Amino acid sequence: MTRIENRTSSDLRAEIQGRLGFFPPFFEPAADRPHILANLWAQTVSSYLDNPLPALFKEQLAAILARYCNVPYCLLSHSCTLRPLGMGAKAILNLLMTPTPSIEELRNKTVGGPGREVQFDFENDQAKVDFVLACCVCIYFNVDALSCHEKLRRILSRDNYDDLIVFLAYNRTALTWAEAHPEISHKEDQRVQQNLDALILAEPALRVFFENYLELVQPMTSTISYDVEKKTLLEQIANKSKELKIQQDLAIHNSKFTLLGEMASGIAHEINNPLTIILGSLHVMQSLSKSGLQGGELFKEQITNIGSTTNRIVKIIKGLQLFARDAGDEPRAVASVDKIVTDALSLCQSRFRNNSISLRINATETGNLKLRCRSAQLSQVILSLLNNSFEAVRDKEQKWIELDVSTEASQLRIAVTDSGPGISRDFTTKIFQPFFTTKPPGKGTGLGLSISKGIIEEHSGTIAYDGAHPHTRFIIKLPLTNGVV
Amino acid sequence: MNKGNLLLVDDEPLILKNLKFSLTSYADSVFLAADGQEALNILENAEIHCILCDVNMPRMNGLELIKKVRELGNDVPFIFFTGHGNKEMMIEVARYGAFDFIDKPYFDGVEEVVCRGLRVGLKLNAGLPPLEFVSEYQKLLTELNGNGEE
Repeated sequence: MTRIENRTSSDLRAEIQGRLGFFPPFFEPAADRPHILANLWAQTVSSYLDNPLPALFKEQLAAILARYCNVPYCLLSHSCTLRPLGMGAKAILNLLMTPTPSIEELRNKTVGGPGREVQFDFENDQAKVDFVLACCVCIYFNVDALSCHEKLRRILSRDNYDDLIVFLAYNRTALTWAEAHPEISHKEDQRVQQNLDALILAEPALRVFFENYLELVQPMTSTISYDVEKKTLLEQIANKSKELKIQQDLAIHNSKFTLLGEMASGIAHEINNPLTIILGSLHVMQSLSKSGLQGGELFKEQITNIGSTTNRIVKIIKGLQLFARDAGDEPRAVASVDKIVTDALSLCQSRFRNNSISLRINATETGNLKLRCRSAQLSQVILSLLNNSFEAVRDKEQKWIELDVSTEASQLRIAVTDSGPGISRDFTTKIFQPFFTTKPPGKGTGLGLSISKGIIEEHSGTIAYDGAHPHTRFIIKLPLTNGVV
Repeated sequence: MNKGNLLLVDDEPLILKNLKFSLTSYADSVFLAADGQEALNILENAEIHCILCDVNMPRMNGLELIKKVRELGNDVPFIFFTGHGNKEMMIEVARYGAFDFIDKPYFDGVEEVVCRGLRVGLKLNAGLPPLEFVSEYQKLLTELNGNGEE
């Protein structure tokens, strides 16, 4: 008796979870039958996980082949795995849109290789990797397979070739298994949960692709011309992504209005108080002039008050323009750190004061620094962080928010800390994902942090949650190298 | 005739200053407080006959103040002066027997309402002149009391 046959379903489940960190839905149909589960798992380990081919190449090939499977699970899970391996959303879309190779083209194409004893360079020769991928598709469809095997043997080392063949065979098993079990849901897969939203936000056309891949990708049954196929594929995707881009812009637009809505009552108060001062001063001045005292000190004082109070309103209105402008289209301009911070604060300071939240600002040393940036966007990011802090501490016993701006090794460092106890470990990996929110429905869009991240990254900076701090802290870092005046 | 003591509560110093100027001649003494907590300290040491109070303030806001004052058994007339007036808030302050509610930023009616508040605080309800300025709050109270017939 082998050890495998003795293991129970729960032994196996524990082993899979131990190795992968989660139990992929892929194995779920076999979960209660240990002999099948053990078989699938053993193949997964030896042919896929422990296969010495580079992880990025394995996932690329798996994703390309999964396009031909009617059940989207494998396509989604392998595409999503490419992201933590360093592939961006656009590159993933490009890979998935690689047309099914045409026989004529492949028949005439050969690629020289280093020979049978030298390891193939997967990392630095994309043209050859593409050729290998095309050959694998032909072998998978059994179209001109013998000649493709021959071509692969010419460019791959013996080990590379056999590892590849074993991996191809595993893919056939896995895709057949998935097709036999259409109930396997990609939504339950951790790799999909952690990456799909971010990929789609970065490249909306990916969503179109995933929703329509069965129509978009032609199986290798005919000799459809490469160019025609690519052209129609591109056209279809372009049309659908145009629609999606509009929807996405709308979502970002709406998220600004949600933030604005959350702050509206604070802003109303902020404007109403100075108006009360101005109208009150006019009231006082009317009384004074009735008594013939319009030249006196008190009268002059009221005039000064009206002037300075009007300026308070002007500042708030300027702050509101953060929301009115489509800041993303603005050209970058030189702005002082002081302006960026002040614009953000103009909309929230009295709201903090009225809720007895102490706001500590430490930005004196950096106030005169200047950045070439889209200042309205950066103010919006700071405001969004301050607003998150506000929501987090407003009902707490201890309530304070700290905004600290400093420089650190040619970087501008903006830290927003609040008296909250930090973010639960369950959430820290998800907070920057689009649409992730812990607020009740209708309260937050879950886009604040993901949009902030996009804005900061567009400014070549980083935004991160500081898990090491005892309180809740976010840190933004922006390079001071280019464009500092 | 005794005019009574007035307490003004607002976290904006200039609003306090303007109110004090406009209302000084209607009261014996005018006291100023920047938030609910300061107002409570004044109420401990002075006899106040009417309070004109903002709602949104740090430390202790206007709603917390009226609750606290009523808990202490003091039924001094409260006039809320705020830009946050809405029906829900008016109904809430009505539960604590607020005397009136004036919408910032306008000063219209402030003098008249404060004078009436001081009279009521001095228990001089009898002989009050008919209302000239009728606030939204008074209309709401009339509505709640069934067309004014108590």
